[in-house]
Amino acid sequence: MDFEFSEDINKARENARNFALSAITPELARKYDLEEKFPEEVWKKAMASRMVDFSNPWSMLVTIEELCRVDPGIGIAATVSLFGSEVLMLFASDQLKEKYLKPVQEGRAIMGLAVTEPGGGSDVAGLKTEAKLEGGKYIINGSKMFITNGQIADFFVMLLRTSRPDSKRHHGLSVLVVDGNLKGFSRNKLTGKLGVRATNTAELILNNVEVPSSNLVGEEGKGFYYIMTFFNISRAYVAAQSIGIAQGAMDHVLAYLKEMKDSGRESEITEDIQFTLSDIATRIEASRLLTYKAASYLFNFQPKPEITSMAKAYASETAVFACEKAMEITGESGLYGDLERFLRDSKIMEIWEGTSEIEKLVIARTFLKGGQM
Amino acid sequence: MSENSDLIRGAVEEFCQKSIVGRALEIERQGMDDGILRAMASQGFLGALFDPQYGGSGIDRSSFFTMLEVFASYSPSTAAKLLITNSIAGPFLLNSAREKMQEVAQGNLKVTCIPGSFVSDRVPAQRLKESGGRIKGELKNLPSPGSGILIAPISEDSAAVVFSGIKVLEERKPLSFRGLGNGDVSVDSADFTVVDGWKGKLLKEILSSMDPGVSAIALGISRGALRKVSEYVTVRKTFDHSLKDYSPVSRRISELMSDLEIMEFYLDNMESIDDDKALKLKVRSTEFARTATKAAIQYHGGYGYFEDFGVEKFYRDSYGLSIMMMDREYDNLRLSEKIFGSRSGFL
Repeated sequence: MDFEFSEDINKARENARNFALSAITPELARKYDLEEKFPEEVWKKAMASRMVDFSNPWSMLVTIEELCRVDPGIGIAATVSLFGSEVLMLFASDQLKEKYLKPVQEGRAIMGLAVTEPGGGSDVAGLKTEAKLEGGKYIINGSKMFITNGQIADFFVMLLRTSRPDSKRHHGLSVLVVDGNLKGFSRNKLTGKLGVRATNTAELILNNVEVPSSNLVGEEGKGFYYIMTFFNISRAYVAAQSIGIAQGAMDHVLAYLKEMKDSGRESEITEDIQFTLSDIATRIEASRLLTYKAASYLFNFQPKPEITSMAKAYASETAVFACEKAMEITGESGLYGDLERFLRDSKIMEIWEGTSEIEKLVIARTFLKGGQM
Repeated sequence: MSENSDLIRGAVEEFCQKSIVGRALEIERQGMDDGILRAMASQGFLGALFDPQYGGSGIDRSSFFTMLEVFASYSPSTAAKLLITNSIAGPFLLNSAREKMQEVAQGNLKVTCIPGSFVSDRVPAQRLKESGGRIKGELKNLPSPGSGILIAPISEDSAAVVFSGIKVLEERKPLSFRGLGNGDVSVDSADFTVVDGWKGKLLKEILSSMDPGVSAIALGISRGALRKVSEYVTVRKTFDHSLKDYSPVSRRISELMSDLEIMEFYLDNMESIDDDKALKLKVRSTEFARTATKAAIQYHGGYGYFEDFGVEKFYRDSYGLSIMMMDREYDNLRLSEKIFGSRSGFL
């Protein structure tokens, strides 16, 4: 068992770290957080540097970690322009890949994934937005909620109901690629988020939006399966975001303790503080091991959803834990400095891409069905 | 709970429903305006603990803590304002500027300080300087920055009560108590009085009100968050069932509500318990507030992450409460002193 990454992945991590430290200054992070604005300049730089490349998943995993370590909001915004691209990579026709995937991979376009609906969330199969096939076109009516890149994306990979469910609720769902500039398509930016305020979030309203049937991804009725496959991948990336946040919080703690030491207050670094620091470090290391194990299965096309769910649930709870403990240790320095932004950013990790409760159900049900460790 | 506390709870509930609930989001976004402050003053809340001869309401401590809890359950910023005004500014003004108390109680004169500087006997991180008959210096991260009265340490055991010459340098959006605002100020004033030796009797007086006061706000924050989440999980359905029907949700919220009610019972009987117990309640309740508010966001899912739902502010404020309004290390030392007879834990 080798716990070391290959040289090229280590290099990718180093590049991402250097990029983050130079391109994401604390001033910039504060500005986009305060203004609740997508950091277009940083995104363009990140895309130009070619480090955002989801066809190289290991490199992407460590890149996300390092960007979120410096600032979670901008780190996520800079890497999320391809959100949902795996659905196209794995299931779309070559024509759709050429038309939609290529521009986002080249940094010329932004995409989004639209699954959640108002009043929906964890219950993906309960979605109500309909796409009716009429004369070679799908006519879409309904709305989507909390959509990342919602206001700025050029197109969306959207999960829709194309036929009434039979005995199984998740039947009758399909994935369509929906351009953002179509007649009847409107979007409302959602503001007032607790954290990750540099990311763009919107509600999408679809009123008789017409989409060519050639924009169907894969086969009709298999949408639920495609999206669940995607979530299994995206959850590993959320685990990486969470590890980055936790590591960033620990960086703040270490800088604070160094300052205490340098100013002759070493005796105030009590055993209590040392134990807390030790807990943070141990949880980060455990999150990494679990996430890399999940990623290893995933990237070798042998996914183990229960391991991915363990990684996502544990790493996201570690992000919140690390930020909360870091705030306790640093006191006013954390409250009025950049650390408080990490605390606000961390909380969404336990919610998006499957709440911790959903992850725990995935894990438990795997073993109740006879799964083995 | 005293009969007075019951009456106060009813009056504050009625006031909050009428004047705070509909404006709670606006308070978070834009701060408390003079109208809200004067409305609180007109009901006697702003100078609740001030003696009536100085324009206050002179209510009993138990009623004051009840009042704080109710305010905090709707808008923690309003409760923080009441706590700073009554529990820190009040004792200082009584010792230095009684003639100003009526104006403060009426909401015509604002008073502020960095609360953390006055809740322990440790050396405050920020001080102003007295030199040549003037008070000068800068203070960072002051809640409610602006003109009015500023109370700030000037030496290890002296503080100045400054009446003019306060200039706001920069305002910012803080993590917690956004309704109070936050900013840096510069001070250059010859209009001040000095309170010497405040770490004796005055500190004791401040702590006897701050310890239960912080607990009251912590419990109010928890009550507000748990009220919201209890309502939400009742109406929100997922997989064809109400969220409350899922055992981890109902069990967790029920446990949190039970813990809250036990601590509220303790708070309601504050008049009959000593300072040691008040300290224990503060340490426990502030930690509890962080736990309860985090759970409240979690069960709201994505909605809890948006300010419109009025839940995330409780989580943010639970952190400000335990960092701005208390000195946790000092409190731990006090606790160990109560239990072991000496301040242990620092080698």
